[in-house]
Formats: sequence, C-alpha cells, structure tokens
Amino acid sequence: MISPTREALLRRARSLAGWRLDELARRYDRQVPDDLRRHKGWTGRLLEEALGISAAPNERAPDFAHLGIELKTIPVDASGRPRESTFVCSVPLAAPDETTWETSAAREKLTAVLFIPILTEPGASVAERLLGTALLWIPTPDEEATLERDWRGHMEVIRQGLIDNITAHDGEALQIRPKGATADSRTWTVDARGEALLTQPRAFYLRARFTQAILARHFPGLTPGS
Amino acid sequence: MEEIQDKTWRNRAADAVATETRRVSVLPPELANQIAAGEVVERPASVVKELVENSLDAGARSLTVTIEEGGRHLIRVEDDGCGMEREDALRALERHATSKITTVEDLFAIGTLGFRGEALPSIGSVSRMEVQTKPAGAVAGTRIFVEGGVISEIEEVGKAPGTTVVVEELFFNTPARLKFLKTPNTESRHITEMLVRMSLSRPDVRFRLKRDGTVRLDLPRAESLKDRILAVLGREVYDDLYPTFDYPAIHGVVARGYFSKPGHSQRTARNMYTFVNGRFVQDRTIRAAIKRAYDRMLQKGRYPSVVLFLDVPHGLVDINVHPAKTEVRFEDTQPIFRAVYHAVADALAEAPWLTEGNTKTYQLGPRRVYGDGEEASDEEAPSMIRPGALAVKPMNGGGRRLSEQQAGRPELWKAQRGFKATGLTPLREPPRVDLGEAGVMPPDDEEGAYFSTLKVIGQFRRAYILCEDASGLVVIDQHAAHERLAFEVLKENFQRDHGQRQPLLFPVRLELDAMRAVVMAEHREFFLDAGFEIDHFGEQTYVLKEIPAALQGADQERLIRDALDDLSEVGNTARVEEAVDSVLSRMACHSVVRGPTELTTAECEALLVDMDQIDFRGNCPHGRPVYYRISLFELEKAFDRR
Repeated sequence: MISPTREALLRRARSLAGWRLDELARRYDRQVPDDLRRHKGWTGRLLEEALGISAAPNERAPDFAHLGIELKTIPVDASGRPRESTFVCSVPLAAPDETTWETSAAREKLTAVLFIPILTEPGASVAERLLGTALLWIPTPDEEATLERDWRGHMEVIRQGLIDNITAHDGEALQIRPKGATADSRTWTVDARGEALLTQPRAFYLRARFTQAILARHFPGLTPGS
Repeated sequence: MEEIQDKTWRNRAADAVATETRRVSVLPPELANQIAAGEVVERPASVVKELVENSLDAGARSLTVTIEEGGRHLIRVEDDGCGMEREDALRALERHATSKITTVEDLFAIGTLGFRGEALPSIGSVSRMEVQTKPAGAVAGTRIFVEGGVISEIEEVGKAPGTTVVVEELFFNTPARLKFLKTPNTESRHITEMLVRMSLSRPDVRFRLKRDGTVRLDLPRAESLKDRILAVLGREVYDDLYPTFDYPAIHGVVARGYFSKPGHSQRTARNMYTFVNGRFVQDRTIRAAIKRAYDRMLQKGRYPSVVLFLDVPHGLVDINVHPAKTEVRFEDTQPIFRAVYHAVADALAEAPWLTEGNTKTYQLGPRRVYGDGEEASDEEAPSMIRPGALAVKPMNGGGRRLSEQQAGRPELWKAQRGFKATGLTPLREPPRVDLGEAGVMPPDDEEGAYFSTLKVIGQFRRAYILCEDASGLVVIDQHAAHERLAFEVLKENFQRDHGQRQPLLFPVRLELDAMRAVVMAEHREFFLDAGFEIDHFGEQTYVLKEIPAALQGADQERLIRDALDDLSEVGNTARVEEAVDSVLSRMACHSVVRGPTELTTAECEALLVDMDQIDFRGNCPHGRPVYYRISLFELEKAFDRR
C-alpha cells in the first residue's frame, strides 16, 4: 500500500524501528544475503517493499515521487556515527553545461530525504542489523546553501575539463567519488580543450560528517560530529 | 477500668464466652469444608494452584487455565491427564479423599504435589463448581455439579480423556472472603505468577493461560529447563544465567539449577525461584544461603535471578506445614544452607563470565583463602579453586570497607581532608560547639525576601559567601546555591515541556519475563503518559521508542523494569519522577562551576537576589544544605559571653 502523505510515510517508516533485517526479510519472504558486497541495494529494496514504494517515473525522480521524498539508508555504529558516505546520484559528466543546481538531479534527490539509520557493527551479520528510527530531513537554508556551493564548485571544475583534479577531499558536504559497475567502467566527458574524453563514472555523495550532523539534530544525545 | 471498657470499646471475645453449658457437635460437612477452604482457598490463585497441582499429579502433558475477572467470575483448568472413573470423581469431592497417599508412612515420603485431599471439596464449598472427567479408554466421562459444597447433579458426558474443572462465582457464599479480593488485574497477576512458578518445575508440560478471552501465557513443552527459563524469564535473564556448581550431596541434599552473574540484578526477589522436591517454596534458609553466596557482589537492595531445585530426602523435610505448601520445615537447616551455598558460591568462584568479551566485571583477589583458612598461592589457576573456597571478593580492598582500611593509616585521612600527606601540620579543628541551623527554610520578611536582604561580608576560601542578617552570621555554600538555582530552572523547563519526548535512534528491545510482560500489557498507558512510547513487538518483547526528553542518558531499561516491579507490587510507581529529579539534579550539578571561584560583592548580591526567586531555598538538589546560620546568641554563647 502506498502512503498517501509524508506523515503517513514517516509513521510507517518509524513503525519499522527496532526490527532486525532478518525479521523484516522473513515478513516479506526474502532471503538474507551473507554479504552485501555482492548484493548492493538489497537493504534498500527490502525497505522499499516494506514502505510500499511506487515505481519512480524516471531515474532522476525521488523514490517516493508522489511525495517528493528520496529514501536513504545510513549504516551507523552504536553511537550513531555514520560508517560511510551516502550516495546521492551520478554526476552529469557528459553535458555539464546543460545542468544548473536548480534543475539538477542532486537537488531533486535532496529536497526531502527519508533517512533510515541501520545499526551496522563490525562482525555482526547482515541478518542481525537493526533498523533505527526514521527521520525526514528537509535541508535548512544553511544546509541547502552549502550543498549548492559544493555542487557549483564541482561542476565548475568539470566544465573546465579538470574532472581528474577533483578528489574525495573536495566539498564540504557534497563530495565526488568514482562509481561504476566495475573498475573498468568508462563514460564520456570533456577535457580542458573541450574534447571528448573517456573517464571513470563519478557520483555525488553526502559526507558522513554531514549526515552525522543531521542525525545529531534529530537525536540530541548523539555527537554532532566534527 | 471496667467503666472505661464499657464506654469505649466492646470486647468481642468476651461476648463469645459461654454463659451456660453448650453441646459439642460435629460440624456438618459443608461447614467443615468452608472452614478448610479458608486455609486452602485464599484467593483465585490458590484455586488455580490446587487444580493445576492435581492436573500435574494426574500426569497431564498439557493444561490450559482460563480466567475471567481475575478468577472471580470464572476459573477453568483443562488437562489431558489420566482422568477419573465416576466413583473416584465422586469420592474426590469428599474431604480427605485422595489417591495420593494411603498410609501414615506415605505422608513422610510424599512424591506428589498434593496429598491432603482437601482441595476439591474446599473449592466446591465456596463456589459453583463443575468437574468433567474421563479416563483414557472409557466410553463416556462424568460430569458433576457442586454448589456451595453440595453435589447437585451427576451425569454422563462425552469428552476427551482428562479432567476439566470449572469454578464459577468463587466465594459467592462467603461475602467476607469476596470483600478481601483485590482488583481483577492484581488477582490475574497472582495467577500468572503461580503458573510461572509451576511451569519452571515442569518444563515437560505445556502451560497456557487465557485471560478474558486473550492468551496471556503460552509455554510450549520444553526440551530442557533452560528452554523453559528462556520462555518464562526472557532472553535478557537467560543470557546472564550460569549453571550451579555440581557439588556433591550433603546429607543427601543436592542443589542444582541456574544463577545470574553478579552484574545482573533487580530490585525485588521476584526472580528467585526455589523449589524443594519439585515444589515451589519460599524459604529463609535457602534465600539466606543464596545471599551469602553472592556476598558483596550485589548492591544492597538488589537481587539475582535464580532458578534452583533442591532434592531433599523425604525424612529431612516436612511439607505438611501449611495447606498452601509454599512453606516447608527442614529437620536440619545446615545441609540445606551448605548445599545451596556451595552450588552457587563455588560456581561464582569459577567466575565463568570473566572471560567474556575480554571485559572483566570482577577480578579475583590476589590471594584466595580457603574455607579452612589455608591460603592458595598466586600461581594457582582459577580452575584450581577448590569447591567451597570463599574466594571471590571485589578487588578493592580485599573485602574490607574503605573506612576499615584507612583506620590504621592516618595519612590517608589527611589526604582525604585536603591536607598533604606529609610536611604540613594540619590546622587545629576549632572546639566543636553545637551551633547553627542548616537546611531549613530561612526566615522570610513580609515580602518573602530573605537572602536579598543579607549584607555580604566577604568570601571564604572562594567557596562560601559570608553574610550577616539582623541577628546572625549566615554562611552560604555558593556551589550548592548555584546548583539549586540551576535545578529549579531545569525543573521549570521540564514541567513546561512535560509532553516533550525524544525518539531513540535505535529503539531498545525489552525482553521481559512473563510476569513483567503481563504488567506491561496492563500499564502501557501509564508509560505513555509518563513520556515513554513502548510498542508491543510480539510475545514478551516490547520496544522502547521514545523517552521523556529529560531522561536522555538515563538507564531507561532499568528504570522501566523497576517501574514494572513497583506497578506489579503496589499498583503505582514514582520511579519516573525520581529519575527525572535525579537527572535534573545531575545536570544542575554539572552546569555550574564546582571548584572554588572568586566572586565580586556584586556577583554575591546577584546570587542572593536569585535565591529569593525560587520556591525552596534550604537545600541543594542532592539534599545538602545551601546555607548555615549562626545566631548572635549562639555565637556569644560559644565565646562564654552568655
């Protein structure tokens, strides 16, 4: 069943808090993989099913398109510290001039995000991972300004054909890192002279410290991060 | 004196004194049964106990107890035991009719749970009772109706093998008893507790409890005692349990079972289940032995979880002490004490939990002294500890209180008082006089102001503000005063935002034991009102999702368990308020400067003005006094001027 409102979706997501992944998988008659490296996206798909997600009209649209909400899981440790950065969307390398922040997929994905923390402790199996309390994040004006500044900065460098100069250290909240099906994956972009260039596909990620600050704002007992 | 008695009170015992010869007569059986019922049938839980004991003695492998209105309206016990022939069933309704003993010798070798032959007639005499029974292989069963102790109808009935006893309108003919029954919730809890105890002694039997149409307890047959413990006491207790030491029999007395590690404890002794020859008993000797075994490993007022079975030779124990049979009498308590003590203490000495996760909860002391005073060498491995060794003491101080250790070492006292251990001569204490008043409400002037009217004289050791009022010297502990002010502000904020709840990032799973789960089901609203959102997660598991914002960082799990115990025992709890006050006072303490701080006169005066703004000014949140006043009269008396 599709949740008709944002409140209903949040309520439903919060009702899952306290479930372990194996318990939820059993409810939806799914097998729990031993290792998520070979089953990327398994947790997200399980949660989509549990939350009654509708098929997104296109890749750019958020997961709950009718509500304008993107679903993101955050693996965190027991103290609420995210264990990794959060994938947002692919970087538009082929036609960097044709995109603005306002029309970008990144902004569309980050307008409203339903974060579901997942307790992921080293040594614990996938089955034992525990679902935390979901939160609906809508960027504050400051956060939106930071994201926009990072995005514009990254895209400016890409437009100049200097994609290879961007490292994971760049960007305060939004970073760019390689992301491809395999290490050999390639996509087209432009080089410094405006010539077509084959390069590794890249994607935008929210830094762990940025998502940690979001969690800390919603759960005051947590450390806001540095 | 006689006159006073006549006027003020009536001696009912004297009223009953015979004034003429009365004839001695045998009581009619209904009345005799009602009198016996007074001992056997105290409340619905005692009916359930007697009937379930009968079922177990009849070899039941599965039994279902159904109650309505806490057992007051209905109690039904169905079993799949051996059932009874019609004649036996009728005889069972006569007083002192039993299949369990036949001779006096049998009384001293009782292997069954019941034996008095009092239960059924007693219950039948104070209720409307129906007994349906059929032995395996019989063509038809028997149904007998009993009302107020009189058999009103007997008929044939078709039913599965086994016995079903239905008790309706308990105490309908004894209103005095009825009046003493507690609320349906309380009576239901007693029944649940009774079944929980019995289920631990018989893991091989399925126990079910239906209350007002809802299944409240369903304990399937278990392979082992540990499995039953898991089902009854929950995962949290189960994970902390260790088997007792396999100590050899002492005069034939053997104690076996499970005990919880010292880190696990609770506020009540409710999870101490002790059984003698399969019968649940509450016995002081057994409890004292368990307590001694834990010694100082448990905080005062905390109790372990223990499930302990004692096999005691029939000759050493008399279970025929009271019809309720939760009390027994031991011929000699020494072997009982020693068997229990060694079973628990020797297992504690082996400390199996010490190797868990590289986190040591307790350490064994460097020297281990055996029971007879012989010392073990440091090289001896823990496995070498001899059974009976009184070895485990917390590391700090080898079992002596800090004060005891310091007794012979004055330098420790000096250090504790803030003097250096060597070098300086401590200041002499002034002569001790009984002066001053502290921690009481200050004398207010007409407008309610007191502290703001004080004249600041100065600061002493940057920790105390010295002031004078019209007729005395006032010393104010500036940290305590600041702390009290901070506490009042925090409390005011908390009361204003009382409904403010804080979701937990990861909900806390509460794997409750069967009893607490029943109490939780009944009191969810209480917790919700107090700011806790707790969802039922299935069976005995609950999930704590939101807490009062002020209780961030408190031990919520323990708080909830303790509150459940209070609710179970007395029907209400002040745990949440206490926890809130405790958290706020801690926050207040940490929010103000604790060390000596120099204050200007203006700052001192500002503090005094603030102190007049709060409701209570006498004590800091920890209960320490905020100020100390010495009147001029007392001061002059101290200087022999008066």
